Amino acid sequence: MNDHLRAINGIDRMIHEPGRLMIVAILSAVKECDFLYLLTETQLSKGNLSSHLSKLEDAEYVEVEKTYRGKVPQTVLRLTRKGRTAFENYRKELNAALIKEAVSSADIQKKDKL
Amino acid sequence: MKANTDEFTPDGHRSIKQQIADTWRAIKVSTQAAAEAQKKDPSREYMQRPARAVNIEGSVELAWGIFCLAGTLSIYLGSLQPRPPWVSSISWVLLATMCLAPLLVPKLVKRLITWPRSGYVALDPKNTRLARTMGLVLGAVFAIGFSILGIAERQHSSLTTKAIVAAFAVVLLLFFVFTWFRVKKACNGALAGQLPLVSPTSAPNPAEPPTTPIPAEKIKTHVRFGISAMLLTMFVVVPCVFGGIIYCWLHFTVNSHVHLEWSQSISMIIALVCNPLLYLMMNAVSVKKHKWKWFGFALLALGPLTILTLFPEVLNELSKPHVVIPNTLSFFIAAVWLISGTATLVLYIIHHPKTEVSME
Repeated sequence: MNDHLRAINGIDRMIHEPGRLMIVAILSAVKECDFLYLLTETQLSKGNLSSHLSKLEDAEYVEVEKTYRGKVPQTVLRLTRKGRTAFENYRKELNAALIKEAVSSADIQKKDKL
Repeated sequence: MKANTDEFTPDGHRSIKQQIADTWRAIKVSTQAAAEAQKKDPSREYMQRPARAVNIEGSVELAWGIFCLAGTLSIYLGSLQPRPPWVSSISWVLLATMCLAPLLVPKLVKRLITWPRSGYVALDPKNTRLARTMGLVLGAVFAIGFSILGIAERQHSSLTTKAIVAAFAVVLLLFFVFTWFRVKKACNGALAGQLPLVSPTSAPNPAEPPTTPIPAEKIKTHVRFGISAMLLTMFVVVPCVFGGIIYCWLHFTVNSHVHLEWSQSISMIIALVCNPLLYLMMNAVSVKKHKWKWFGFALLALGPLTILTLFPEVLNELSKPHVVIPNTLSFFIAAVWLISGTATLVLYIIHHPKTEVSME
């Protein structure tokens, strides 16, 4: 198997899906946010966002809290410790693979010049 | 062959020149690779998005504008001769407004305007801890420094200049030490743990003799030193150079017969240099969307200098008691912040209608 492919073989599929990656990446940079904020930032449809959040909640990556702000219902979301660790590991693995690729392409370019 | 013998000392070790060249190559390739990887990292852009929420509706600009306006009004009323009896009570209100505006205005605007429109978000306090600590330390240093300076000026102490130079050197040293201890994470991030990949053993030239790899820790130390020196240059040396230019310009060009105290010169330099920089920092993200903010930046950067050049008599306001920055300039700066903040808020309200959505 290609080295680069092997490097990303063990990557977390729960996070790797583009919609969920967007959600987890945004949540990793905040303490907490509500459903409306995620909807605005991700530009996903309401149903799509809800379904991704349910999957992340089932995997215990995201904590969902349903409250009220005044009389308006509000869904507050935050990344759990497990989710944060999983996302950090995901980024480490992806970065390592991307850097390996960048270094090897730089080496190839040098050899070509020589 | 001569080049090869130059690379080694007589006892067979690599020469210092060669070691520096190797380290530099390792750092260069590592950082290039890390930058390339960062560009391709899909999560990076999403992680930066929440930072836009801080000043998306111009609340921070409004808060700073109110802070500047309250401060200026307080000083203006204090400098009135003869002093009206109601001034002291109003001054307390203005002082309280000045202290509370940066804390309360953004919170209030967000609660009433932002959250019902684009949603509630609380940024992670860990991400802003460094900025808050540095702000507090710098604020404390300036407050203590100005107090000492003011007392010394009133007593006409000749020791002031020496004390200021010594204090400034100590602050620079402390800043460097502080940065040195804080950049460890940034240094590790910049090199991304990929040093073995780019050590000299992987040199593609087969004619080059085999060499021992440079210890990763050694490279990290060099990078750490480099980042500390860079931060010191950016945040201390560059403002000082600009400050020096403005100081010379104020003294020799605008109104050379006006005697400026040290505290007045420093306050004016801080106001003239820091306000445009602060404006640019606050709008770093939104300036791409709101191009007109460049006009606000130009007003803050060039407006006060233009006022001083066209109307040098403005500097005469400095002869009034308690005035460290001419009131005309302070009012102008506050007005630019308030107008920019209000315009951002109005545009935000127009483009973001109220919505009520919750998770299904």
